[in-house]
Amino acid sequence: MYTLGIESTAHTFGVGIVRDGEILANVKEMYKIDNKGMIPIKVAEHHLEVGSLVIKKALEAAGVGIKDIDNIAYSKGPGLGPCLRVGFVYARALSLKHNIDIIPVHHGIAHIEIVKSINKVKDPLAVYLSGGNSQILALEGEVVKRYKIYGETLDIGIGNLFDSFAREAGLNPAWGSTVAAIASKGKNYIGMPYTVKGMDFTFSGLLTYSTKLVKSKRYALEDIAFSLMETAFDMILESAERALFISNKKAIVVAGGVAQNTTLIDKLKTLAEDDGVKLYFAEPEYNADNGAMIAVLGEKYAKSGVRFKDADISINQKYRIDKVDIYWS
Amino acid sequence: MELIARGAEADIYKAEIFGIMAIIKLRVVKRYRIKDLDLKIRRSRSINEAKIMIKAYDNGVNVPRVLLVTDKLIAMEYIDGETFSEKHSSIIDKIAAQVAKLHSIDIIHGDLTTRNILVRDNKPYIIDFGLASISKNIEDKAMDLIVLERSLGDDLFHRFMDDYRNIIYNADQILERISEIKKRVRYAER
Repeated sequence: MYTLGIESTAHTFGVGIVRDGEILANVKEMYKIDNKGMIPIKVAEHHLEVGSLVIKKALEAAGVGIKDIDNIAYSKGPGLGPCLRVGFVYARALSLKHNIDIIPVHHGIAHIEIVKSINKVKDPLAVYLSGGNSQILALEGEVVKRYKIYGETLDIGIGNLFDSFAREAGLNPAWGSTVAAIASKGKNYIGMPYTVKGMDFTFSGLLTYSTKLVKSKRYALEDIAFSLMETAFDMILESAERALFISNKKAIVVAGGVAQNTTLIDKLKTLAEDDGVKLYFAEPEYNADNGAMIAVLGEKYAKSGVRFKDADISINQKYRIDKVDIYWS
Repeated sequence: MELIARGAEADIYKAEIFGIMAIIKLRVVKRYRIKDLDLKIRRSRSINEAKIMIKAYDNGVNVPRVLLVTDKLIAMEYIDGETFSEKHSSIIDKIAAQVAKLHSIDIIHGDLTTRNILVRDNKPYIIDFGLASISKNIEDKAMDLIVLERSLGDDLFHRFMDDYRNIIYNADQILERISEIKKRVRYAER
């Protein structure tokens, strides 16, 4: 069974192809972000321009033709409306033209499921960290399951925190990996606002404070970036550890764009070691937004035999992760 | 010293100190955490927790007496009681009085489940102030009660509220907020 997945929630238009859990292709084109961030309609135009070519390249990489594809999965949401629409329209057009089943999937769950699939791990505690989302989750339920949110950000996502800080500090490109590169040279920890409420956390205080420090010019940017990342990650880890004790899960999966950060991975490794559980993560290629993860999740639905109603085949900018039915563990 | 429980944040020991049985809550080092922050968190939380327990005690709430506080541990009186369960439902009025007292002096427990209510000689004790805070906020008090409702169940919670209402002057506002919070999507199906 071949499944093609289309990702287009934000800056990336990606297409992946999987066969029985094996990733055969993962091609993507990214809208170029300078120091300004994203204008949704411009990003959508970019996706429209590159879409056909990305699909063609993915089919070539997998060595298959469109006629061989059994299912087409696409990101239903959450994401930027105009961008989601482009991916959805490509999926629908291919599905109609070649009479292929179409499967709507949740972007966040796709991030988690691809890491589970690559590592062959079941029923973990999931730490999902991306631009707009920061959540600690685990599956709950008997036959039909759902991801239960143990803790989450009460304001902005952790990726958003780093991106906004990068813009305020005048970094280019203004995103997390630039902040991470600078932070790796920092040594001196500066105390910053640390807000964990039970298993929820907030980042806006941290953003305001770290930006203020940059403007004050009293500290080295390296040390500010270093302290910002340490504090933000420690907040996530405290919440994750509490959720681990409450949920009693034996494995942790870390997923989403921010899971590419090596400081985060090192901290999680230490936590897992001290609490006697296993940590699983994936290569950066599969943590950044990509089409393979959409294909992996689409294939899981196809194999579970679930049929989607016409009304479900749509986009949803605010698609909630805890409202999606899951038929595996 | 006997380790009786391991939590996400602290190890709980039972030991005899100063000639009496005590519970020692030791906030353990987190190796993943940057050292400065680790020291600060363990210190401020231990002190905060002890301060709140003392405030509760001074205002007549049944809580373990604090014996000793350092920058990483709290030693407190050991309460030889049973965890609250159905069979203690006859003292739900006393529990309501305890929680009402806490809220009337703006102490938010932060994890108000039946696991954190002990019963000794028909007298309820409220324990584990690890997530407690001081707040006048109606939202925070409502959240405390939502957590309690989930672990008490509907019937007991109704009986609880009948008594809580008689003590807290703005109980109706808090109740209103509870139904408001439940309408927010995140809590809809919890």
